[in-house]
Amino acid sequence: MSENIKVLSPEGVVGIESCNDLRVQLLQAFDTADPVLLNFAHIERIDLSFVQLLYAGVREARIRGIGFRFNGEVSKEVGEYLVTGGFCKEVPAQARELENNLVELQDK
Amino acid sequence: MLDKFQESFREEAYELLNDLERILLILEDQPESQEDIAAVFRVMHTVKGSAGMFGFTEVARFAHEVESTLDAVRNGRIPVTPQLVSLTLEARDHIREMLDEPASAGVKFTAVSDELIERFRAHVAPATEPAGLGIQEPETSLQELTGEEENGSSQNDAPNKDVSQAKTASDADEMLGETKEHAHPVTYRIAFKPGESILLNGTNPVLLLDELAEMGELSAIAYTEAIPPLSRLEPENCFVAWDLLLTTKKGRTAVRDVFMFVEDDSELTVEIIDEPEGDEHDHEYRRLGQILVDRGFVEAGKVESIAVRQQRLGEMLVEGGVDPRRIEAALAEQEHVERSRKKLQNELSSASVRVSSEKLDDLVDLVGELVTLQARLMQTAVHVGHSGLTLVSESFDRLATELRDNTMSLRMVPIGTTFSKFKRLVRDLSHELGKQVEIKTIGAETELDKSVIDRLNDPLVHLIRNSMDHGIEKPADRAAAAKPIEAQILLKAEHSGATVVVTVEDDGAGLNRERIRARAEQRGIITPGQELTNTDIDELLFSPGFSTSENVTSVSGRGVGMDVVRREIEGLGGTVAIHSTPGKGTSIQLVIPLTLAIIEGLLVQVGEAMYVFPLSSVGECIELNHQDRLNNGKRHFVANRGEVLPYVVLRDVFSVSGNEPDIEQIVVVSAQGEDIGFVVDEVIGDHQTVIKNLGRLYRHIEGISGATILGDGSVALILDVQKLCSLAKREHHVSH
Repeated sequence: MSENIKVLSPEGVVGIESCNDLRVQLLQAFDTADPVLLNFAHIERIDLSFVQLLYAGVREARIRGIGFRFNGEVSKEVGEYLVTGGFCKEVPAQARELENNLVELQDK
Repeated sequence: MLDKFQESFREEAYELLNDLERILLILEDQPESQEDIAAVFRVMHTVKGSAGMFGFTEVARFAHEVESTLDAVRNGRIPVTPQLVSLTLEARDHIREMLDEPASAGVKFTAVSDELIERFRAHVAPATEPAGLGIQEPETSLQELTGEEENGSSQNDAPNKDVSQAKTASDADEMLGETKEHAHPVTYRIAFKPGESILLNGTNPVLLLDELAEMGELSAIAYTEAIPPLSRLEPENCFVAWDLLLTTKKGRTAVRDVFMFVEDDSELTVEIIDEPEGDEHDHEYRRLGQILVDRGFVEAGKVESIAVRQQRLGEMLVEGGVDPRRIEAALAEQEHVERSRKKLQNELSSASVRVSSEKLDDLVDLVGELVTLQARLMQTAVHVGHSGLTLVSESFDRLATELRDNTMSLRMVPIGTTFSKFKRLVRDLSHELGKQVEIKTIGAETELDKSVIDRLNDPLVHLIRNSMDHGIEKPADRAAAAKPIEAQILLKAEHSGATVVVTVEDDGAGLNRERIRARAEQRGIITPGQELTNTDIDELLFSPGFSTSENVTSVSGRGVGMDVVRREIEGLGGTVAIHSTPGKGTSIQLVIPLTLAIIEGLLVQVGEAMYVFPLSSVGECIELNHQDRLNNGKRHFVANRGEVLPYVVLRDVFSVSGNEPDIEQIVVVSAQGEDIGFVVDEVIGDHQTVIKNLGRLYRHIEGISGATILGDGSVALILDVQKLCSLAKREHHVSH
């Protein structure tokens, strides 16, 4: 059986201005697809709104038993933001490294 | 007379004002940078607060007013404009002056303060009045900071009392402890829970963490469990909290200041959890259980009951229902402190101490004496012919050389300390002259003797002013010449043997040689129509009082400049060279010796007299048959490596009597871009030359820059090679 994949590819600065739209898209994707892929390749910068969305998304997917995967390269700015904020220990090069390395989301 | 606390504050304030200048210059290029706006505000806030605490009431009053304007900028009520940056730079200079002369701060500076305050108010008024927004008072009032009543003592008092709020020395110590840097890094635990609306207020809390990270070593533990489920999440609200571990020398005030703008809406505690005192940092840091109890996560009894089971405490506490994230945070704290202590231990093993430059000068003098004595010992050993004594003398010689090199290296400081001042100079002159100029620096880490660096400042100021005023074109002229509107000045330093080459280069119009020639003819420096090469014309710039400027401006045109530059640099034993290409720009090269205290020299003899050439300027030594020289008559040339080498007979220059040897020596030196020979009787060899100043009577003898004492106690004169070459040219001892 083929998978019903949904890919979300936010672009540029993903922060307080755009996160609510992304949240709605994510909820719709969780309702209709499995797995849901979040592509980091076009994200240049983020703020805390996006990080919160990421955490809420991972938890939501786990509750629903849906695959929520990250892919694409992580920009230097995004990686450093996550490390400075204490959300991961090392700057990730690839988004898939984040799947199991966001603090408080490991090994669950 | 300032007390030790006020002195301590002043030192800190100077550093803050230097930071302020640097940040303002960045802000001018990046006026939207919230980070820099916040940094400028914080500096002014800290200056105001500390000045009030330590009795600099006029500084506090003035800083308070400036802070009010900066507060309006921070809140987005007025934008950062070049005018505001200029005004704030003026304010910074004014504070610096008040700190320099605290005794007259109340009388001398009040009028200037008031005038500047009026300009700040006028700057804010047009932007805020239409919207009905006046200047809001910053969070802390001046009275709170100075401890003065509303109708209390005059704010213009000089700091003629002890720290104004401190009733006792220990109070003052405590105040300083809050604001002053610690001698060794301490570790803070900062619990930070931002208010939910922090993101909506435009604050990015992770940038605050970034600022903390710049202060030292930061470990951040984020707590994300409060983030609501996706369906209920409002991403524009903040649900994350942090435990932060910061190891830094900064005082608690500086740490808290990072949160200055968010503190009111956030939960914040800042506590020192580890304060190693030098060698007392090797004891074990608190155990995991103790950290958890201190943080209030676990009851002490629970830890004790689990600990007796002799298993891994963390695992057992998790089994016992303690949140694993709390244990992880405690472990992170343990790890952070241990890592910081290890780092401190490493740093302490190679720790530095601050020593006054006078003490260093004394040390250099003593080493100089030692080197002189060593030369005497060596000579005595050779004279006595005792092999044991010779062996000891040789070992002593090696040690003395090493000691000399080490001592000299202590006085070396990076030239970047001087370079950084010129950014402000270029910025101010750009505004004054209506030109756009960027200054770039290369080799700021290049080290030079402190005394040389101190004397290099004025020549460099002259060169940069000249470049800005005469060299660099107006923007319209640059555009017409298809050049970028923004001109560049490059300030470069690099080592070259025993010298440092400092270059000031611009991409301006280059020297206008026709105008230089015309002005020189007009002033009678040269005769009309006199045949001159480009180099000769460029050299005219160094004539005393020479200027091509039609008008005297505050920047240049007074004819005081290039000749002073050359005199200063030659006074340092260095040289100045100028290279210019019309339309492309001008480059001025200063070649300066690394040090003025002890040099490697070449000792020579003429008759009974001994002379020293600085070894750095000597290229080679060649023989000259005395009879050949006599046969040449007044034509002082020899062929050397296929080139004609002009020479000067040192015996003639200093009127030395006595017989000349059959075979003489020519010491070939490079000076002013040419090779010139100096004829001497004998080359004795290299010599560690401790430079002694000549007495007042002999200070102005041309061609001699100092003296040194030889091993037998006799005196050798140190030759000023540059000056001798100029003299030789002038008096036709050398002619091409």
